[in-house]
Parts: sequence; structure tokens; C-alpha cells
Amino acid sequence: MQDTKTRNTNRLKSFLINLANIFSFVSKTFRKMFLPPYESREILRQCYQIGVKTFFLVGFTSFLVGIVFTRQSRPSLLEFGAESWLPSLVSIAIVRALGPLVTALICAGRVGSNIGAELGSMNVSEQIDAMEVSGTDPFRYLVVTRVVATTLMVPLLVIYADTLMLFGSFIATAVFNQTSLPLFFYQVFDSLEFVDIFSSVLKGFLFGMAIGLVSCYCGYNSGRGTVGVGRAANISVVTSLFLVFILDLLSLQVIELFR
Amino acid sequence: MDKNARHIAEENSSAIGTETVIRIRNLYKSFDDTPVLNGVDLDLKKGENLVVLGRSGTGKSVLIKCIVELITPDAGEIEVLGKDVRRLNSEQINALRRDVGFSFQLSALYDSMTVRENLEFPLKRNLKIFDQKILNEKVMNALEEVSMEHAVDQWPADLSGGQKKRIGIARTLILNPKIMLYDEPTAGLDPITSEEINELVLEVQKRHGTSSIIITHDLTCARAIANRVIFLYNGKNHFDGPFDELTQTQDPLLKTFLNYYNIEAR
Ligand SMILES: Nc1ncnc2c1ncn2[C@@H]1O[C@H](COP(=O)(O)OP(=O)(O)OP(=O)(O)O)[C@@H](O)[C@H]1O
Ligand SMILES: [Mg+2]
Repeated sequence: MQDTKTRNTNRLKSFLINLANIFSFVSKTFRKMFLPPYESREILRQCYQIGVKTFFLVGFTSFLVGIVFTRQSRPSLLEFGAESWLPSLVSIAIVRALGPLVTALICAGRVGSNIGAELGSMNVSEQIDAMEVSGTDPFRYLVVTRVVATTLMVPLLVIYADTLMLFGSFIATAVFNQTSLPLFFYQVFDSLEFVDIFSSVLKGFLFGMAIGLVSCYCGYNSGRGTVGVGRAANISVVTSLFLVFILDLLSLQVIELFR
Repeated sequence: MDKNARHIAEENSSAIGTETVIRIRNLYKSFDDTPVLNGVDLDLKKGENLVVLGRSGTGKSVLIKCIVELITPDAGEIEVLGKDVRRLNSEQINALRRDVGFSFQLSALYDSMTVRENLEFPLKRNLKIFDQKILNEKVMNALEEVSMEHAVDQWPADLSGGQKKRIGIARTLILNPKIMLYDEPTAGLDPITSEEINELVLEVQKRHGTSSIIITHDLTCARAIANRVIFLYNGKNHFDGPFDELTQTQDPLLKTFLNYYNIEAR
């Protein structure tokens, strides 16, 4: 009886401490992001790494999603005799929702786990301490660079994913209907508004920042020992994914205000 | 077996000065309400090899991490080369870290960089040297000192534990420190490699006139290189004196510790 009570108090206490740690981590990241010295070379290197790791995966997956989504939407539209609306429906769905989401899911899995494991193992093997005694602020060099890199790269990848998804959608449409690439993209851009493209990029920006912050936090604060590394990688992915869905919902509300 | 190392050590002991380079008084540090350091005192004289012994988890690593401000102690005084470590700004701490080299327990080589890049890192970062010619020269000199020139373009993952230790020591030496802190330089190495590392530690001291603190569990290592030994127990100094005095002790706690390592008490 007494035991459960103390255990619950302890749990609450550690939860609050965790929350405070996260808050100070995030504010430290932003403070160091905007104050010099800037590690621009390392930021470029990280951007390049993220690009290399996800370029084919995001491209290929988006292309497939474009095909599948179009193929599956077509019968419903046929039923209403609204087949000519297919490009508009598909483009709105892709740019507003599917493109950013698919990109974020892949980046969380590929980049998030990588950052978590990398920083985790650097932490466990004292490489972070070694950086600090070599005259480098490890927080700036490791955390800020990665957060900036994901925040910049994920929106770019979203545009790339949107494009390839639309291209996949064009292929799927062309199999059944008479269309050409210019005609299809004319229809696409006709149905899209600026807010749609803006919201696609904005979501990418938010998702990228969330993935970067979460996985850096998990890696940088990983427990000691090799178990800590695996856990850091795992929790990075799970928490990033969870946050991506929450942010997706929130940004929907915000974007509605601009319509 | 360790005659060679012992010989160098005896030669070195004549070079010990009277000047104190590290002075620690009443150092306290707890993690989450668990006390780790409980009032540690430590003096390191110029040119001296001080060995810190103690069981796993007594806070030996925490102690030397406090010296270079990797961990901030809760209370106590730390003076390094006449400066109060706890009152330095970040510029001064960087300068301190040039003078005090830290060789990590797990070598801590950066996995994402080659050996060359590992060694260039402190030069570029701390000394702000960017001239590739000077960098190359310094890197090769440091590698020569630990006899690892051939590994310059290898990745840390492809090196053995002993080789990583050597590279780690080279990366520390490259800044020409006045004081070296070694965190378990021989942990996890076979006896022959350990012996080689011991000799390396002594050679470094002889060539550069450094003062060193060496943390170890390895009594063979301690006997080979120590001018003086400190034994930590429950976060406090339990013993402070020459190695021979340690082996002749009647103290039950130390005896258990020594027996465990089968050191002939002579
Ligand atoms: N950064 C830290 N955060 C929390 N606890 C820590 C931290 N560093 C050390 N400790 C705790 O302090 C205690 C002493 O650790 P330390 O690494 O100094 O031991 P040690 O004497 O070096 O042992 P070993 O010989 O195994 O290396 C351990 O119980 C450890 O869990
Ligand atoms: Mg240790």
C-alpha cells in the first residue's frame, strides 16, 4: 500500500525530471543553433549523409505509393462517373498528406534510428567526452548540426517525394486513360493551391525538426552500456513516429486557418 | 618480466620535483543521491607517476574527469598547474585541456573518422592549426611515438584493442600536455600488450617530462610504473604511499585486495 504510493511518487518525479530535461535540451539546441560559432562544414556533411541514406528509398517508395494509391482510388471514382477528377483528387491527397507522411516515416526509420544509435554509441564509448577535451562543444558539433540537417533536408525530400508520387500516379493513370505527361501535370497544378504546396513543405520542416530533436535527445542521453545504444535507436524511431502523427494532426488545424 | 619498465621507472623517480601540479582537497560528488566521491585528497608532484587503485565503481574515472571539468564536482578544491579549475571560463578550460591530456578507458577514437582525422581533430579544434603540411608532420610524429605509423589511413574499427589504446594515447600526446591522465591504460589487454603499454607510458613520461595519474586494476602495471600509489575505497583515500609500502601492509582491506591479485607480499 505504502509501497505503491512511494513508487507512484517516484514515477511522477522521474517523469517531471525527464520533461524538464527535454525542455532544457530543446532550448539549448535553439540557443546554440543561432549563436556562433557555426559548424557549417559538419552541417553540410550531415545533410549529405541524410540525402545519401534516403534518396533511393524515399524515391522508390513514393513512386510505388503513387501507383497504388491511384489504382485504388480509381474504381470509386468510376462508380460515380467522376473518373476525370482522378488527377485532382490524387494530387491533393498526395501533396497535402501522403507525401510528407511517407517521407517522415522513412526518415524516422532510416535517419532517426541512425542518429540515435550513432550518438548513443559515441556516448557509451566516451567519444563525446573526448570531443569535449579536444576543444569542441560536442552539443554544437553533434546535436545542433544534426537537428539543422534534418530540418533542412526533410522538406526537400518531401518535394522530391511529392514529385515522384505524382509521377507514379501518372503512370497508373496512363495505363487506363488517354493522357500525356503535360496534360496530367496541367490538371494537377490546376487543382493545387499555393497553400497546399506550402503546407507540404511546412510539414516536412516540422517533421524533420521533430525527428532530429527526438533522436538526438535519445542518443545523447542514452543509458550507459551497449544495451543503452539499442534502446536509444529503438526509442528514437518510436517517439519520432509518434510525434510525426501528432504534428500531422496539429499542422492540419493550423493550415486550415490559412485557407 | 617487467624488468625493463621497472628500470625506466626507477630512473625516472630521480626526476620528481617538489612542485605540486595537481592538488585536490575534499572532493565530493554524488549521482542521483548516491555518493561516489566522499572527500578525496590527492597531490601530484611534477614528474611523478601516481597510480590510483580501487575496485570497480569506486569513482576513479569520476575523480580524473573532475580534473579536466568533464564532470563538475559538488564540493571541494581542484588546483591544476596553480589554477583553480572550478573558476575558469571556457577559454581557460580549453587552455587547461591542452596542458592536461586525457587517455580514455575505452580509447574513445571517433568511429566516423580515420586515424589521421582522429589525430588532426584536436589540432584543428583546440590549436586551430589548418595548414595541411604542419598537420601531416604532427600526425606522423605522434604516430611514430607510439609506433603506429602504418595505421595512419585505417579506420578505428579495423584496429585491435592495444592498437586503439596507442592511437588514443597519440591523439592525447599530440597537444604536448604537461600532465597525462590515463584511465585504465591496460584494461582488457593481454599481459604482453599491457607490458608494452606500460613501457609506452614510461617512455612518454621520460621524453616529455610529463607528470601522470594512472588509474588501473592491474597491480603488475602499478608495480611497474608507480612512484606512489593511492587506494580509493568508498570514495575516500584509504592508502597513500609507495608501492612497496602497499605490499607490506597489515591493513585487512588492502590485504584482501592484494591477495585477490596474488601479489607476493614482499
Ligand atoms: N555520468 C554519470 N552519471 C551517473 N552516474 C555515474 C556517471 N559517471 C559515473 N557514475 C557512477 O559513479 C560510480 C563510479 O563510476 P566510475 O566510472 O568512476 O568507476 P570506476 O572506479 O572508474 O570503475 P571502473 O574501474 O569500472 O572504471 C558508478 O557507480 C557509476 O554508475
Ligand atoms: Mg573507470
